[in-house]
Amino acid sequence: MMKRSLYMNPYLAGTLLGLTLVLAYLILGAGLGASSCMGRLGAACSLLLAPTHTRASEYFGAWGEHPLLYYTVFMFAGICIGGLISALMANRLELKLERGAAISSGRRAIFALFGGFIVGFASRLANGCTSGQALTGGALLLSGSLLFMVSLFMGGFIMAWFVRKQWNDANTL
Amino acid sequence: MMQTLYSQGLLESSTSFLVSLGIGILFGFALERGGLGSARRVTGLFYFRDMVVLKVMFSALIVGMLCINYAKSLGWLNPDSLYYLPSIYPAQFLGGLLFGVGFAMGGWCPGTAAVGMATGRLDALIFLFGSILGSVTFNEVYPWIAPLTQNSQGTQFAYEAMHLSEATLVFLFTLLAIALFWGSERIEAHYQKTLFTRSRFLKRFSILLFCAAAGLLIFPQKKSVVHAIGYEISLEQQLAQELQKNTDHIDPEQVADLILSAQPMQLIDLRSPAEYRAFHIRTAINVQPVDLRDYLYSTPRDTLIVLYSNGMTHPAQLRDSLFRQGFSNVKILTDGLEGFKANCLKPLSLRTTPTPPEKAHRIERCRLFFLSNLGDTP
Repeated sequence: MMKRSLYMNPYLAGTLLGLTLVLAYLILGAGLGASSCMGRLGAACSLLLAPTHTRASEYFGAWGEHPLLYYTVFMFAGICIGGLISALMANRLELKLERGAAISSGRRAIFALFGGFIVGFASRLANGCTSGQALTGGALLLSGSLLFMVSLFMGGFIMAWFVRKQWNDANTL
Repeated sequence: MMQTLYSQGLLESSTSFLVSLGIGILFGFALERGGLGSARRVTGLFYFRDMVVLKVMFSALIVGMLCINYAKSLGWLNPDSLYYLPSIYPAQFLGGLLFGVGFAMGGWCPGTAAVGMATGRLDALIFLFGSILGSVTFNEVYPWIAPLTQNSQGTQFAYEAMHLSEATLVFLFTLLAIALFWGSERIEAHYQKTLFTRSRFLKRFSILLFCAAAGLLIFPQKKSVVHAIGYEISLEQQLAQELQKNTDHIDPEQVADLILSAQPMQLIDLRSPAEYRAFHIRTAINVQPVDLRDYLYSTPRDTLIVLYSNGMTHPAQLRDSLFRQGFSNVKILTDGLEGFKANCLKPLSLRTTPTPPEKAHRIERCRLFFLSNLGDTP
């Protein structure tokens, strides 16, 4: 088996990410985003299952008949491709459910599902996620995005204490 | 001065889709390279074990901030050509709090989960499935929580609220980031015995960021002023040209035709709400002059906007102001609302000049459409 290469220096990876953001502002004029695609996928599923109801709904209804024809959906596809390329180059591709030794796969899956649910809801409420609000808005020093970042860390640190078992490897030591 | 796809109203074009795909690839590549394709590493921050998220995030934030500010000062980036997320504090505060909770619980945020999913992490796939369900739920309960998401104040900037210049706050933010980087290295040193000694790199990186931020403070904003003046002159010239060619006006008949054929257009009534209630051109929206900028905030800059009032002075002044803000297709209604009434709505019986049958037919259609359910007749 090939040796896995180390991760890139995080400061340089961050610099690359920052330059990507600048590129997005210069060409698109609208920064980065990832959560919006989840919303669009939700709208597409909703349209498929309950077309009349979705068209009449206030939030998804405004996105029209083809919610997936939107630039953030293409950006999300790009994120997957870019991640795949990088992992292939570093030989880091691996099918697994990542968890600490102190927690069962089932519990970890439930945490991931509920965490995802809350994040999906919250990013529609806040109109963005770590990339769309914190990074994109933060780089322009928008008050609302900075507020989002502060409350995100608050929520994160509080919740992390309750789910600390997730990444606890004490059993293996 | 570069025109962004957003300012040209091309965000939903195939060019934009292709560009977004490319930008996404760079984005995903940077995330995976940095080590954010692992939930354990991503959440390490919350337990002060692995600070990689903080390092990547704040490096990106500062580099982005500095580059954007230099690009603005050098005149490469027109601030008016960007989309600014509106400030909606209750939604952003509550959303952020909930987001943090889900983030710590699920171990991912949407961007990192995309990378995780693409590299085989099953928990990322489950997380993303959950977030689709969360979005659908949001849509279902939206009618009840909509008041939280209403925007009344447009976009607000932290440096304006703090009465600082943008460069000063960027500088302070850079100092904060450098402190966080050094703090993170300290914290990690506790947990990871085999830490690469990055001190030399970090020293150089910190000095580089510091100098760039300080440079922005000293960097004379004059250069941007020179550009701005050049930009203004060409803008004034364009204004004068439009005036001369009469393309700043639109005839009442043309407006009526556009409305009758349901063409996309923003028709704005600038009169008082009382006058608007008494009578207005059907499909027009009542916006007070002071609210106009806010109202048009997220409108693509090339949308056809038609302004009217009773006369023509106020609409003309506002038209020029919107034009300077980058709206390229703003017109005023020739002879205002009175002109519209006289040209399109005046009954045939009251007209002194003979009316050709085609025109008579059009007037009938207009009267039928514009006078229904609106009470007042002109």
